[in-house]
Amino acid sequence: MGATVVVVFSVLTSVAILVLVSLGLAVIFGLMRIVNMAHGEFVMIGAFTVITLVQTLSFPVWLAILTAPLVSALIGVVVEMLLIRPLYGRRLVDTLLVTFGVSLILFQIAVNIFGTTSPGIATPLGALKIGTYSVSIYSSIFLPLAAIGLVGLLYLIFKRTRYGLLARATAQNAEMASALGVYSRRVNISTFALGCALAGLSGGLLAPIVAVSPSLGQNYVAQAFMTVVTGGPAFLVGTVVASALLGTIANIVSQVFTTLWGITALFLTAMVLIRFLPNGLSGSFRKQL
Amino acid sequence: MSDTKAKDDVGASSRISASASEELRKQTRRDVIRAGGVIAGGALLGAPMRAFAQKGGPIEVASMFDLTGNLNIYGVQCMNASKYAVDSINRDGGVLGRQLKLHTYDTQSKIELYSRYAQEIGSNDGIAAVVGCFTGASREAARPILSRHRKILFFPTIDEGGECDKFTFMQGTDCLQQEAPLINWAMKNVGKTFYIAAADYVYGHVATAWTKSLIAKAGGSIVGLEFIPLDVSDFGSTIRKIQTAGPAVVMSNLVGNNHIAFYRQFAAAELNNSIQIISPTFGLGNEQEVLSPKETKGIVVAYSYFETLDTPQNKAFVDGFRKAYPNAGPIPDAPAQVWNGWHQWKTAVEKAGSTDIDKVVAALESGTPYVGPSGNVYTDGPSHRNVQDVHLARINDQRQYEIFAKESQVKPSRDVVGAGSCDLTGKDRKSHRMIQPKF
Repeated sequence: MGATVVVVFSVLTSVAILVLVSLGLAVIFGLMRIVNMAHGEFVMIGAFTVITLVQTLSFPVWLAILTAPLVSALIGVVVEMLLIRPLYGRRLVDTLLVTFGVSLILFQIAVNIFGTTSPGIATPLGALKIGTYSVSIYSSIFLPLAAIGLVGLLYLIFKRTRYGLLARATAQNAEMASALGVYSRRVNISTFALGCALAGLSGGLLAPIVAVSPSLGQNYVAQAFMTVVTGGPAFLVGTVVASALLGTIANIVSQVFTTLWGITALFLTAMVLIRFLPNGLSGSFRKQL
Repeated sequence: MSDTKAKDDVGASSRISASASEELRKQTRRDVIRAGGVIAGGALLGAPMRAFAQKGGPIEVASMFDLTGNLNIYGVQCMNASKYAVDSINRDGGVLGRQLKLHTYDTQSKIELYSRYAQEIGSNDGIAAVVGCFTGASREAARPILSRHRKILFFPTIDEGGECDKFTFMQGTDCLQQEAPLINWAMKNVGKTFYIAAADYVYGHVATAWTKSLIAKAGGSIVGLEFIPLDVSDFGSTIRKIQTAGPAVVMSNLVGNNHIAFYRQFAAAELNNSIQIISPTFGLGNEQEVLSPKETKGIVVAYSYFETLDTPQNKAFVDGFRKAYPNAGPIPDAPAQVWNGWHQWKTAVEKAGSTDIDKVVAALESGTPYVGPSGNVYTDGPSHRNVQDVHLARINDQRQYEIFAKESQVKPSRDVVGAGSCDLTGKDRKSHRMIQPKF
């Protein structure tokens, strides 16, 4: 009994981490058709924001986590204006190359500023006893709740706000949206900033459970790509469904066998899915969100 | 010991530092002149010239460590220790009455620079000894080249064993030297059931092979074992498995930045109150600095050297080091081994009465003792590894190591896991190779 509950919590954590690290990538890819290779670095920026604020300015950890997306978004805006803007409408490869360069630059800046080992912060909230087991409340309960809350919030943003409507219109048909008076430059910069903010927030949320280093984002970025590609065109629902599927399979397989097999299972599932559903899990969905 | 950091290597920049390129230019010019001399005057003239040059001037020695790039967290302190050791030998009158002149090479956390600088050192006849390299990969890039040019190399890091080169001396402890004291202590003081969590690459597998055989020998039992890829930082399933297995002790052979998350998530589930972690690798990547004190408190580690060792030799070592480098961070095991390397070489040269490599190697193999900051050390001839004291320490709530036990003069292993043994004074006395462990 205890063991089953612990496994369920562990699955929830894995799924939540996948959702969190994939959302930013999914928003930017889904709405702008830009593959942001620097996604991992925006995750890393969020994580460093949290540990720096907590360590040097003694911010409460929660406030620091809420600041993380702001810092990432700010850097995202600068990157968009300087480097991404000239690329709209160009081939996917161009954006890939540019964002890859951004990724290398941001990584090295982080190495120069923070070195390779920085003091981190302990996981808050303590542990929950379940029979003979105990689990971290932060990673087992708080992270899944945060992921659910964030998905809900994004849904509302895209369904209920003016920005959401314009962003979806621009994504569907940029020229038509422009002809109807949508200022696509502002929509694009907002969307890119939102994607970076989501990456930053995920980094902020992960900071208390991992060791933060400049290579932090790179560890998650492959899984995030896999999730977004498997998710397909409905970037929000697709990402959630893909995370749930891949996270559950990876975690259960690691529980039964080893962590190595868990990761193998994740990639295998993604490969098989893409083979048989080239448009991703949400390819046949009617909702385009 | 580990090659893991090398995989993160992105390199600070590809430019060669000004001093390095100048060094290269000088080197080339000297080579050309020398080559010309040999052609013109023949070897007869060259030999006495060189002997003359060696008489009065300083003895040239070299160190190569990563002063830039993302391995510099290890390299800078080792280079500091190297300069400090050479200065201090010079202040005490040098070696054989001659001063030492240290050539320093910044390998920039790039494996290819190890090969290149090894080539440079190798082609410089003046250089008599090298203390350097940090990861196993960097050593294997430099070692064959140095060895081919008959340069003696002292390697300061802990490692998994397998090095079998007549001209190379391994200063750090091996798996056996670290793990046996840890396991014996845990068996006596904590419990007899162990869970092993290990990094899924060569070091983790070799260390785990030792862990298994040592636990079996001590009469303990292994209730679980998992190898974890180096890029994993979500330990949810591992932590659940540890709880299901319910061991008294977790032996952590984990390595690298991502694996630091294990200790954090272990503490977040509050397992650190009921299960003892012992580890031969914790602290190498400054884990105690990355983690918070309440996450690391109580973890037990084993190294030969700790800055907190209370001996007159260590006090003198630390005081002098702090005076020379007031802003340098904590001093882990490797810098102390760099110091030992230079001093053991000096002792051997003085015993041999010459810097001739064959005589110095023979003197080292004879096991002349040297009392350094970590205690008494001497070379075990067949394995070219140090026999040394190993100290057990517990991390307190201020990120410091509290030493609570010492095993005196622990012998290194002459066996390589799954691949026979190395005997550099017997069957392997002409060997210049690395024996790959099998597991």
